[in-house]
Amino acid sequence: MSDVVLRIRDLDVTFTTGSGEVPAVRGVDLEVRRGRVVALVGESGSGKSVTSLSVLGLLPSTARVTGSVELADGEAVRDVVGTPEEQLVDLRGRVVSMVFQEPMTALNPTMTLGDQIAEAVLNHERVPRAVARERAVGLLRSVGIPEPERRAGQYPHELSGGQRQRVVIAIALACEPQLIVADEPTTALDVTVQAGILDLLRELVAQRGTALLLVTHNMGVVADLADEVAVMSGGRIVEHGPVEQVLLAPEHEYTRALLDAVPAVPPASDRGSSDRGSSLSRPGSEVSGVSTGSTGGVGSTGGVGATGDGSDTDADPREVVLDLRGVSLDYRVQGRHVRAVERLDLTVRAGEMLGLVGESGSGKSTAGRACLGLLTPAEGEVLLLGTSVARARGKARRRLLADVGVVFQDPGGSLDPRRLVGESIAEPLAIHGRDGRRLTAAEKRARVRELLDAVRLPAGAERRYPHEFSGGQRQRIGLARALALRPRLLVADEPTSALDVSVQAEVLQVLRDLHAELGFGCLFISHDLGVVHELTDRVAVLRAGRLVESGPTAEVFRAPRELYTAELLASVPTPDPAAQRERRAARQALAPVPGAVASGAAPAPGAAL
Amino acid sequence: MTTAIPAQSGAVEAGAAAPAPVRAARGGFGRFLIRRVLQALVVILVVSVIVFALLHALPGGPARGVLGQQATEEQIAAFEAANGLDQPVVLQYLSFLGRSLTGDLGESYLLNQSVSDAIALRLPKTLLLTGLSLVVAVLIAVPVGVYQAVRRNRAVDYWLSTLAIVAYSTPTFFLGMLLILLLSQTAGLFPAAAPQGTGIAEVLAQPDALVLPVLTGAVPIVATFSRYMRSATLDNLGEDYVRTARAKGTGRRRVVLRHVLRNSLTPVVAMLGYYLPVMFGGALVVEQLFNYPGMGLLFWSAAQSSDFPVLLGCVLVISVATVVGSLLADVVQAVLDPRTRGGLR
Repeated sequence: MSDVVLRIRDLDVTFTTGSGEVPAVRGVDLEVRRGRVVALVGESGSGKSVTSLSVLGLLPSTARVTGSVELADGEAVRDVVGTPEEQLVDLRGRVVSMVFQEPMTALNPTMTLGDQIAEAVLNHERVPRAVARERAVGLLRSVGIPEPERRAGQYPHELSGGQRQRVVIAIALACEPQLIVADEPTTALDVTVQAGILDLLRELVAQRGTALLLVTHNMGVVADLADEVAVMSGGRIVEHGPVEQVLLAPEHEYTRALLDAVPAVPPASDRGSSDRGSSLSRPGSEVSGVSTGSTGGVGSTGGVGATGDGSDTDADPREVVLDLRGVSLDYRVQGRHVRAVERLDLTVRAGEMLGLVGESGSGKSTAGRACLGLLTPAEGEVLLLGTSVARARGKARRRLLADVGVVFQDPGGSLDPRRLVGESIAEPLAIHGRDGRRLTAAEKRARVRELLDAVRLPAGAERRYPHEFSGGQRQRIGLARALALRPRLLVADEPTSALDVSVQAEVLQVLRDLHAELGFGCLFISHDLGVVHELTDRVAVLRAGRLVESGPTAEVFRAPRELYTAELLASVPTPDPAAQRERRAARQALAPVPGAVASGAAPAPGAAL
Repeated sequence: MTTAIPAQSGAVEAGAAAPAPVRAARGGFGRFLIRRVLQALVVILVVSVIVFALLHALPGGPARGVLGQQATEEQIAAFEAANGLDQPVVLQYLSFLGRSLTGDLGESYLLNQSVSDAIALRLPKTLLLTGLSLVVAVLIAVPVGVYQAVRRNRAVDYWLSTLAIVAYSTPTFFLGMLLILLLSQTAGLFPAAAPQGTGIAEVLAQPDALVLPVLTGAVPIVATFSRYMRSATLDNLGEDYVRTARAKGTGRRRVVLRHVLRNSLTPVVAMLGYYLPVMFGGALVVEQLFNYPGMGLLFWSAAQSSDFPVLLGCVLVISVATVVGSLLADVVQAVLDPRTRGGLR
């Protein structure tokens, strides 16, 4: 088998469900060689995860598998298809192992990290328990966990998501398998943490010669790590080739569409040569100082900071729909107050889109909740259309909040599954009426149809239930509901982060069109810098509850003034392999220790909601 | 990584709060325990107030209850004076509380015995009966539930589920009679009467007589908890960590025994804590049925004869036992699941 460690031939996987046979994978051929990274990309439902699970024989019993999945086991070749479970147990972990998507749940919560790693060793080698424990500590050290001796005795909940993913990788490495299957290993992580994990995986492949089958939907991750790419769609591989070829000169239409849908941040090479400031300030040195924004010695750009103090003198004639003035927000955790947001100043004007970006735990969602009147600030004021939300009471408050629409992250969870879509959309109309009077049933129906049309859903959608729609359609339903009352401010909290890229592109297009047409102000909360770059006029960067930097999106992204913003931007992988190499170099120059920016730190308690 | 480089101040800032939960998780077990005990004391206090208030709100009060409907006003006044019932309610409660703390629960109106003596005589036996039932039940229910979950939707699973539902819906007294009829009258395997005697040792000396009462107490618990265990195990079998364990080459058997079992026990242990009062209720029926001289019988006769000091004492003891039981359940849970040790409850 020379140096081929995995050879998939004509793999077919069919699931038997209550409603018949559902084919998931059809005729997949794939080879992975020693020391190579092969990426399997595609959108949800393309069959990429099913293919990856079939490599370890981990498919559920409802799956029928044909074809062959051959693994090189020393001199021997073992076909996973048709091998009984007892023999697969011997292959798993020793010859092939796996890293999963969700580090928060991938580890046993009641077992120490050391024991979980040691178990992998003990499964395949006859060594004393103490030796296995020592190996576990060594593995923790090799995946970049600080104080491995102490960490080995800890439990998963004591570590941050990025660190847990490192532990999962340590488990996968324990018996030095020839092949690691990584199923969306960084999807659940913040960009800076993702960059650290990608660096770790790259090192492992380079140093140990382990082959990696990388399953992902993120083209940037592919460009960062992969040698070869196989694009899957509808259970088939539609395009397969070296990474440069597939990403830069895609042949198949689907690959092109997929790449086009990826929102991008401007290339790293544009950055650094900034006219906005002579040098980047170190984060932490003056963090509270920068929250008052663009006054810090950059005279030429004083006008761009439309936030905080600057907004009063700003010449922009558009009405301010949302104004946060020195807002601090607290959470109660075990009876203690934990500050989630510290003296935040933000302004959103009518017809403007403000992007609020930051990593998990940065307080961006908390700030969004305050704008909706769901949280009362501990300090400062939230002004909606010039009126303080906290001081408004009763009817006045309801009328004020009727001018705010909201779209949440989870398109399924925010719609009542037992209500017709039309009823859900009409609910705000029923509660608030229009111009102080109730709407007749016919008026409501007409408005619902108008809204569904605006979000490009077919007529008749109002008489169906949420589960009959796809994720992207559901999110558009949520958007229709948010716009039912013609709000003057829309708060969108990660509206597309649960969606596939092509679906995300659709939803964003609808949002963009409606925004242009209706002219509401929009607070767009997102961790995805690419989306924010494509969509918003201005951006505010949050970190640990404080405003790090704000200004016109194009300027901030092209020439960030703060080191943290620069690190954040450099951490976003771009789908161009050559450009990604440059970005990586730029990022590593910014943060000397790979992944040090955030991966080591557990999120501040309470700050992450 | 970050802790090693304080110069990267941003990382330190983001992680500054991290040591707090870690510390709480490690050194916090004692604090968790103290807080839970204090909470438990408050609950007991509230229960005692409620019970006291309820009993005094009865028409005619305790005096009428003891002396009967024919008692004259003078008799009642004399009884009330003798028992301190003519004092303000708050004072009565406080003196009751003060005496309770020193172990003096008053004198029974009818038994010619102090309440604490009456309870001290019977409580250990009830604890023995319910404790044995519980242990037997858990020893059966946990493996059965796990087995059912692993064999989900197979014939075995359906049969065991059916059996559990039948056992669950059978009233305890009927189940007891059925067991007496089958195992005692027909098969003659075990005696129908529970062990008699004053001490625990005496009761334990007749193990064959204990079988039927323990079994009667255990069967409904087995039925309930095999269901809990089955669903908890099923939930856990679908968890991501099970896939991780399988991906590193852990066999199915070991996955269930080492990973799933412990995680599935946590919700079941919590349910056991809530189940304790139900078990005391069950003991009432079982003791009555097998004529077993425990708290249930004592409570039963005291309720029938309006022996308020005994009732009050029983309720107090049972509520203490219940609160202590759920406290124990919490502690066991904290031992099983490190995440609950932070004292979030």
